Amino acid sequence: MLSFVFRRLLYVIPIALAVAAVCFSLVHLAPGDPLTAVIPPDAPQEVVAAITRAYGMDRPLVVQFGSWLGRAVQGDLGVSVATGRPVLIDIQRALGNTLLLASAAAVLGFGIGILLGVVAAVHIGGPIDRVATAIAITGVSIPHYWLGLLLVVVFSVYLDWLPSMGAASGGSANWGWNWDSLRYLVLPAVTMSFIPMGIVTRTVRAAVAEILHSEFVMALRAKGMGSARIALHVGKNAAPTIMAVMGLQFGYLLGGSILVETVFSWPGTGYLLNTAIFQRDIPLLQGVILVLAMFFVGLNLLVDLLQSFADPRIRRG
Amino acid sequence: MTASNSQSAAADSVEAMSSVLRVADLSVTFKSEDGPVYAVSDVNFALNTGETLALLGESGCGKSVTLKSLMRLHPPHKTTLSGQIEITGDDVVAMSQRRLSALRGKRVAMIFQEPMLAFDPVFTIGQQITETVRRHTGCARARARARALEMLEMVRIPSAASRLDAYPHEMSGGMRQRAMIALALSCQPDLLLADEPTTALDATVQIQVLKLLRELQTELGMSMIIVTHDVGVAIEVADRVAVMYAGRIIEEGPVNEVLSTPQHPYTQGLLAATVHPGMDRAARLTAIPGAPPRLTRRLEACAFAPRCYKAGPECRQSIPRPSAVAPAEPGADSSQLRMVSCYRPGLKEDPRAHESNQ
Repeated sequence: MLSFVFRRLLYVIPIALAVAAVCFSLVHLAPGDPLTAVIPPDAPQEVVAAITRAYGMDRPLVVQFGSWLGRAVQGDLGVSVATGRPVLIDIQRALGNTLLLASAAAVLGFGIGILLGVVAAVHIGGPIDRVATAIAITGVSIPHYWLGLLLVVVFSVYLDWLPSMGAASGGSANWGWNWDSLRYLVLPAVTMSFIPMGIVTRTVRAAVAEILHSEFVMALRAKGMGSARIALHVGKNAAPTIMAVMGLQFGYLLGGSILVETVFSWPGTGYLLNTAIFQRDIPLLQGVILVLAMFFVGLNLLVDLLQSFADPRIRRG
Repeated sequence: MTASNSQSAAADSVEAMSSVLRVADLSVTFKSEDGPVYAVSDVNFALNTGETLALLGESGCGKSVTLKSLMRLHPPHKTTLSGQIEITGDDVVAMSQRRLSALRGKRVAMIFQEPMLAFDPVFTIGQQITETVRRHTGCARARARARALEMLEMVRIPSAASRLDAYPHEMSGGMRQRAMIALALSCQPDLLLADEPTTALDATVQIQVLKLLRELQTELGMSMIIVTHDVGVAIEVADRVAVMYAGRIIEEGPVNEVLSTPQHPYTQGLLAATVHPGMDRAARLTAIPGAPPRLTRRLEACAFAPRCYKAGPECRQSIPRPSAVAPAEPGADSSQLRMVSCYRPGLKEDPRAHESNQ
């Protein structure tokens, strides 16, 4: 078991390096000079050269990558071209907001998804299953920016129950664990929970239904086990599959919320990414992508380790 | 509840014995998308303490369905079960789910065909035996674990203590089936149900497992029902055999008698088609022409008639009732009872004898 954990941790190093290389080169693959955003079009040649040198952009790409990576490992992701602030500060604040939103959406989406999936699997083929499956397909199919706008129209404009944008009254720095702050979370979290809810429902339904039909469940009943004990067995067997899907979905929630965060003006990573792209703020863009990608790598590692605790067969090989 | 006279007569004589199990007029019907499937119809048999009955027949004849319905293991919303099942005097058909789950694994235990599938892959062998012991005795974890170890030693698993913490995939097929037997016997059941327990094992391991089963059965004084399609397995372990065809028992009796002097044409065909101990080694194996009927319609006549070499008009009109092969002597042991469900029972004439006469 320990050797498995150690081996799995070692695998993270090459993966992280590859991810960093992709993050770095993606930005340089984009058309146009990264410095056009900071240099006025009519700047004299020597000024352009000076700025290029100042950002280190005159050196070979490999050298640039090396020094960027070296600084990134120490927590220095550079300075934003647009604001002049260290990139890391903006990312930290945005990541906090996104983690909050993603966690709320995940709790909601995974919770409802697991519930619906289990109920559908137990009643598979029946009317309850059909209703649950219909809800799941609807959840996956509805475009979430459209759903977000719809919710805003209903709950903010007509009913005036919930705020339509922002993370807290007076800015995200004023966040607190009270209704005044939490109510800002409701609409974006509900909007974002739909897709993971649908996907988790379908995964849980398929996994649990398959396990319920396996012979060992009949064997459990044949030795007199009650439904609670059988649920424990089914749960532990279904856990690896479900955790893999939930890990991926949580990763998507962290990074893939550009549309929802833009609709609700939620000051998270998606919103930050959007800003960085439009302002051609290369250091910020690289930083956000790198941090999000590393979260993804970390989540996958966590899921792999959790899976191996649930299923001994994964530990082999 | 007036079944046929011969059946109730049989049931009466059985009740006098110390019977562990009594099955009367058992029918099992499954709901399917294509309508009902009459998997088991009007099955009657009884089992005495310490006795072993083999349910013999080809795939789809209802032998496994019969076995599983003894514990009501089929999903209730898809299954209609009628008739009587009494285990040590308790009516299983009317039993509440609560009492049923207290019975399962305690008084009646089951061994499955494929131990790889019947064990939960993500729990250790020890955990799976221990949870059964704790469920039925309520004892502490350490006691239950000691019991599990004792059971693994009883079924002669080498280095049993380390095997307690092994997962099913870490054991060989034969060891897994031994562990399955250990699990089934952990609460000292009165009745052991074995569903093709050796089919998934290779030939050398099969014999070991059968011998182990036989020994443990004698040692613990249990009764056993073994489902098999293998005549050799039936000869090896069973005292009595019930041959099933199309969801019905068509012939039943002491294993040696039934297999040496089969009365039903299907039993004769089955024996002529398989290699088994005591067969005529010079004779060629012969196949029974045709295929078993589909069970999606309720049969109105003898199910075997379309394939039978001596079927007559009466065979195509109604279902033959079980009747005693020879009139039972007064006070005869019920284990000696010999029944056949056929209008034209009797030994098959040797076709070669015919040829020499002509």
